[in-house]
Amino acid sequence: MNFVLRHPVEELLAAAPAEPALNHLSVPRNRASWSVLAHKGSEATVVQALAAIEGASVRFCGPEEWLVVTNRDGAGAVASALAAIPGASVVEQGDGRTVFSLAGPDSRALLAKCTALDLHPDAFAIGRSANALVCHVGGNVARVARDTYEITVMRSFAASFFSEICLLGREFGLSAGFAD
Amino acid sequence: MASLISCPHCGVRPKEEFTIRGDATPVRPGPDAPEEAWFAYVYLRENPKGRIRESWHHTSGCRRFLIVERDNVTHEVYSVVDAAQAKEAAE
Ligand SMILES: [Zn+2]
Repeated sequence: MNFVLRHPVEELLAAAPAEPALNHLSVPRNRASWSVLAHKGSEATVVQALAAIEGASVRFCGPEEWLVVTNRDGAGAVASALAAIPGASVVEQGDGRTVFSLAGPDSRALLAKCTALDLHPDAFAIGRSANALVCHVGGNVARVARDTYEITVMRSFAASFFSEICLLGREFGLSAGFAD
Repeated sequence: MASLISCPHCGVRPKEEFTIRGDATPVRPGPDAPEEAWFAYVYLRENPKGRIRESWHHTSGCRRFLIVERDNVTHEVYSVVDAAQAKEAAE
């Protein structure tokens, strides 16, 4: 039996232009992710252990829950580091979540059209992340650089999210394409 | 946004991110309580006007159950607390 890895927006992106515009939505193919939940009373130690993992980006979801995102090449090391954390339950989410990266000078204005999250730099500094309604689906929004946001949604909502953000991005000349 | 709820975990969010789960005041009867007590707990609800306590679920955010104390006439929100933490504090 053969399993074929198909990205959920494969068909929607088939006709995308080759040149990225000033505002660009990149769809990385190589992301790996995990849900991490701390057991009762272990929150502080799990936070410390997560912060110590190299090459992993830790996103806040709610009390005692995080989403850990990394590139697939370093996934093995991160997976074993996560498994070694005492007082935490870890679920692999690589095939369950889809990551989008929105970058460009108008990324904040674009995102503000589809989420009620307070994106002001004072409220949402670089490195901050939160679960929120974004393009009518629940997802996680992380500010990874000054004008760059990573949005993670459930795989089955990825096509809907992608279509809507592309529509909202038309006024900013948003382009989209796959990335490694 | 029409109604803003200050989630203790996520900050100020619009009501669209939440699911209202109903009156937060009924207390679950013990397993051996009489049938009338269970009937009242499951089916009977007051329909008060003014200041009420409700269970809200932050569906699109932290997915925690919250107790929202608000006025259903003026839409003023008095307090929002995590339901599990409120229960722990009360015990
Ligand atoms: Zn919340």
